[in-house]
Amino acid sequence: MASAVGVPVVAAPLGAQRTIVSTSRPRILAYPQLLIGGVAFALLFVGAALGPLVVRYGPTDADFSAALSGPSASHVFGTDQLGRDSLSRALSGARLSLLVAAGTVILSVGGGVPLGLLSGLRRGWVESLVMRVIDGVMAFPGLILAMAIAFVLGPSLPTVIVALGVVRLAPFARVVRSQALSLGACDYVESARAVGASSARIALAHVLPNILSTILVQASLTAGAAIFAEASLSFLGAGVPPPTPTWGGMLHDAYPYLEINPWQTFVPGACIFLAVLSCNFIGEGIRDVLDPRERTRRGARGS
Amino acid sequence: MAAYIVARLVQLFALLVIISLLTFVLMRGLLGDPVLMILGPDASVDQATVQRLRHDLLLDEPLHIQYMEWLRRAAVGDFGRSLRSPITVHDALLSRLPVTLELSIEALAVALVLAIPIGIQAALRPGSRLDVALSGLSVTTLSLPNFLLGILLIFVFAIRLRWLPSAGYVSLVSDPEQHLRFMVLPVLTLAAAYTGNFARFARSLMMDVLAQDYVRTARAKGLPGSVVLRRHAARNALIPLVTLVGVELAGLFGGAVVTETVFSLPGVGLLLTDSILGKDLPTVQAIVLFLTVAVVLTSFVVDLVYGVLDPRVRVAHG
Amino acid sequence: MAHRLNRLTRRQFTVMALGTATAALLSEACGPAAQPAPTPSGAGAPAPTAPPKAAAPTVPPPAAAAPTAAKVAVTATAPAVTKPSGGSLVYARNMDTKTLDPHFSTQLSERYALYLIYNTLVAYDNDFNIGPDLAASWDIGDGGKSITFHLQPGVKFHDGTDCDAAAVKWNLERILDPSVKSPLLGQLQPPLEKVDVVDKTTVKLQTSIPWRPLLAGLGERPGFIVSPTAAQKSGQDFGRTPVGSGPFKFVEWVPDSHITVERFADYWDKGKPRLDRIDIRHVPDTQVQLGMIRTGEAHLIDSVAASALLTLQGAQGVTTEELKSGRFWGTQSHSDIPPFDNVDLRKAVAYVTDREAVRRVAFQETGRLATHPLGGGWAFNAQLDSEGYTLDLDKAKEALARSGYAGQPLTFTNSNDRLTQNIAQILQTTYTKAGLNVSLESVPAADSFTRVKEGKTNWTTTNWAPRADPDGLLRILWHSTGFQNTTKFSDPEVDRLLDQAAGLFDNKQAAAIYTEVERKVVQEASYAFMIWPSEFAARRTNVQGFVYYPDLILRLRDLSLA
Repeated sequence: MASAVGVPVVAAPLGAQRTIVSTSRPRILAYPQLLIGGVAFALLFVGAALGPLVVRYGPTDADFSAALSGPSASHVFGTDQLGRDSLSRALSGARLSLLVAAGTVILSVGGGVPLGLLSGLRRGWVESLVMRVIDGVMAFPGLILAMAIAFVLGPSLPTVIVALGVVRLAPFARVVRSQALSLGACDYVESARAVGASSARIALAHVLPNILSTILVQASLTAGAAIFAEASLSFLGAGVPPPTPTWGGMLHDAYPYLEINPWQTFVPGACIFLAVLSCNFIGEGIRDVLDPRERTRRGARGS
Repeated sequence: MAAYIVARLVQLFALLVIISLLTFVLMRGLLGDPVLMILGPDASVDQATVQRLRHDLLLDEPLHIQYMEWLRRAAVGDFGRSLRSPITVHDALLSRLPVTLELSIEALAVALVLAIPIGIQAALRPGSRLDVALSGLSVTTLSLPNFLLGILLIFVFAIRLRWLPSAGYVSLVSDPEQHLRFMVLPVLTLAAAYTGNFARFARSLMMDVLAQDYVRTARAKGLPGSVVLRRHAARNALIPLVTLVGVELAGLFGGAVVTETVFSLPGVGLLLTDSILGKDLPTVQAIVLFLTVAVVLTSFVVDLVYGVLDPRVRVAHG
Repeated sequence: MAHRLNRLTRRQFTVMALGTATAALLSEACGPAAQPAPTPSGAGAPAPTAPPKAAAPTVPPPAAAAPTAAKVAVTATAPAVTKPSGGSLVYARNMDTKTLDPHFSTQLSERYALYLIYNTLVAYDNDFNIGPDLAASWDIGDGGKSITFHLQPGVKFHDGTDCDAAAVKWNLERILDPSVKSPLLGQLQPPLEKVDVVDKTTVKLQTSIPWRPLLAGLGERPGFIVSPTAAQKSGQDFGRTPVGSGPFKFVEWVPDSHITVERFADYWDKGKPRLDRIDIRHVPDTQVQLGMIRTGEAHLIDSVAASALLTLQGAQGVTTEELKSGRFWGTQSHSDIPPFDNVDLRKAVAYVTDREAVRRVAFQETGRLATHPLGGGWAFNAQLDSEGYTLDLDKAKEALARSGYAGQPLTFTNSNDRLTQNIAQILQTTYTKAGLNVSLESVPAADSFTRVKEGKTNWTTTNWAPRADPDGLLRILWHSTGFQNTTKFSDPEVDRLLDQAAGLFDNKQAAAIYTEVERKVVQEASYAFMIWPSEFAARRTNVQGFVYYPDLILRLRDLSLA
């Protein structure tokens, strides 16, 4: 899981109107990443929401006589070692992945933003300690930490979300903090302080709106990272346990049969890849839209 | 400067104690008694033997005594015996460390060797097809989980083409040729995610540097391009790259864990996974300790190097 | 100007890139140079705690100039020498060897090496019938309360000392000695009371009651005869430097790497062994094992999963062997606490256990369907195969209705390894068809057995390997005092029958009683039996003399290389 590189600050004077993104249709085409990512994610969402309702087989319906078969008329994506339909399992797995992604984002935003704001705006040994702990957590390989937490708590959907949320909270806090630090040095914040506004008010009224874009970008990237991480955990054997279908779990089951039933591996593999890719595209796309400097760099000639 | 070093060392020590305590409490407290697990169902033993084993492992002492004892022994390098096999944790770690080091260093090298030239070329031609392709490629490799890539590579090269083995390990020193055969796929797998990231980073660094006034000045002065690069640009580009490598190191280990699992490389990463899943507390604790030390030391060294390369930092720290 | 910069840039950066690469490779070469090889071979006694070392990434090699240990698994060894006898055999498996002192051995994998280094008093054949090994013959006397062994004459230990009646006596008394704390004590005593030397090759064992399983026990760990001289000299370290009378002499044991033995020239059984050397390599990963057998790096592997057989099909020079083992797989549930204290519920489960599906899907259509525990050996009764609970949805529904648990939520626990996961999911499919409301609970593999022993798991899968004597397995699982009786099965009649059968030295009589016991166990239904799976081994085609023993431990000493 690579950490996000810091996003340059877009400073805005107090009270200025924020135009997030122009809504005129042709403009969106200037951001192909955002477009592709958005469409892909929408498809994923629709598939996850409606798919399990329309498929022929349930995700746990086992037809032993059809075990380990490739794509066919009756099973479009083939079956797994117990004869369960891969398409159906992939769609149910999508639901789970989206749930994990949502839960992780909520946890990491809910925990990371306040922590980041706190340690970015206030000076004190508490804030400094918090940052040290965050640094410590970040220093540790995220996957290992998540695996340990999930395993110790007993692998299940809630514990996986908690584990991933805790791990992803740290980089979130770090990014928010660095933003808050720079913003905190800005003139208008200084003057707000001078007038006597409390830290909380400064945080909520002045800093937060300006880092919204950062949070959005980070949230998308975190969603992608969460799907990625959940798949890794399940593949290693520390994720949400069967019979709940998860993409990583499907891969875990499929691995011994790679030679004789490769489709069983490709289906969840492609799903994971496309889901993570779309999240990353969306995140990068938002960043492109909101940061003029990046855009300029991309289009300009070298000087 | 000396005070800074001392402060960091103290921090390191405190971090070590906290993390080891946390690991201990989590695993022992929540995972319970390993004796029956050690003996396993095929063991035909009686209750007396079970009791004796429990006593030998200090499991009948209260938790804090167990931790203190572990700490005391760890301080002299005795990490006890693995619960799952008869060797000392120390020996297990040492025999597996070379594998992980080889994998990580080779992957890092491949990633840098590929990324730096690509990134620089892309910086010199912003907006070109190469640049756009690089951007797309790097996001793609970041989105493709490394175990997926590994499985894909195994499928193509080991199963379908049968050019390379799908699993296993030969050490570099014992048989370099075989070593390469076994390591090609794992190294590529691990390097992939980092290549994209490094290339993008190199690109943006290079662009920053090229746009700097002093580069333009140097060129205006008539200095040949190579001198400009060597004396001015490279050094300034190097600093953040060093930091990036240092930051990514922790992630590299995480990636190594998965890669070792997929390719069955007997490294520390696989040992850690097996130990966590196998509840082998002594091994987990020792590895966690090493990991923490390695990561903190690395960031410490990176900071130092930073200070050496960038005089501004040195001045700031005093 | 830009053009010139480009050209220089390219060259410059090629240099930079090469420089980086070189630096990386250099650091690699200097980095993991230390190849620590903690060897326990004869010379230095290995310290159980390593000498103090700072927690640094690179460690200086140990002071003792020990030869570099073979890395885990994969170093290429020369393939077998092409002589009719002789040669060096490599066997790869996941070893969890903790000691090579048989009287302290608790791990199954240790026995592969033990059968090479030592002899046992008696040996088994394919039906677990008792035959001679160190004891050429024996007499049962005193109404079954004494066994007199007549040992092979002129047997020597690897250290040259005599393996005679005095040595046998010393060995058995060593196990019996409470201060030695051997985990095998419970296997000999009760009822073994005394061991007497009658003459140089005759030793007499006295028991308090007639006890046939004792004889069978002397074919495995309690029957391994170690050199008393060597054991006394080495003390605690004997497990690391074993000395026996077996066909192979101990050479070295590098933990987590390999155990090496070589032919003992003065072995008492002339003409044996055929091989010069055997190398048991620790290879925990089955993929790596499969790779090794394909390349010929290993001559033999076992515990090959049925699903892996397919990958070996086209392999050159590899032959697979199938053993129809007596190990049984089944499900077990408590019979003393709800909900399974309800016998109708247990019957419902037994009627709806789809063993055919399990065999087909989880075991790739290998193995034999099982309806009772004993799958082999001299007490095996094929007639029981057609008795017991067979798949019958109607009867299952009836029983379920009677039990009052229809629709009630039940929890089935299983270990999270692939095989057990598959089995659990297969079973659940059929359970649902009969109206059982079963949810699956997955527990980590490392935990699952512990939880069963601690009584935390009510209903789960189970599997047990057969012991040499039918009393072995039946007693520990189904005697009310059985050490592994985790379902709290308790039937005084079964206790009585087991005790009675154990006192009979006539196998036919004993077998009839064991059939009775099996019937009762099956009826009670806290165990639902599913399958006796086949075990698979893979060998290089030039490996000869391969015989699969029912205790699933390969007798490597009988092999030879063509």
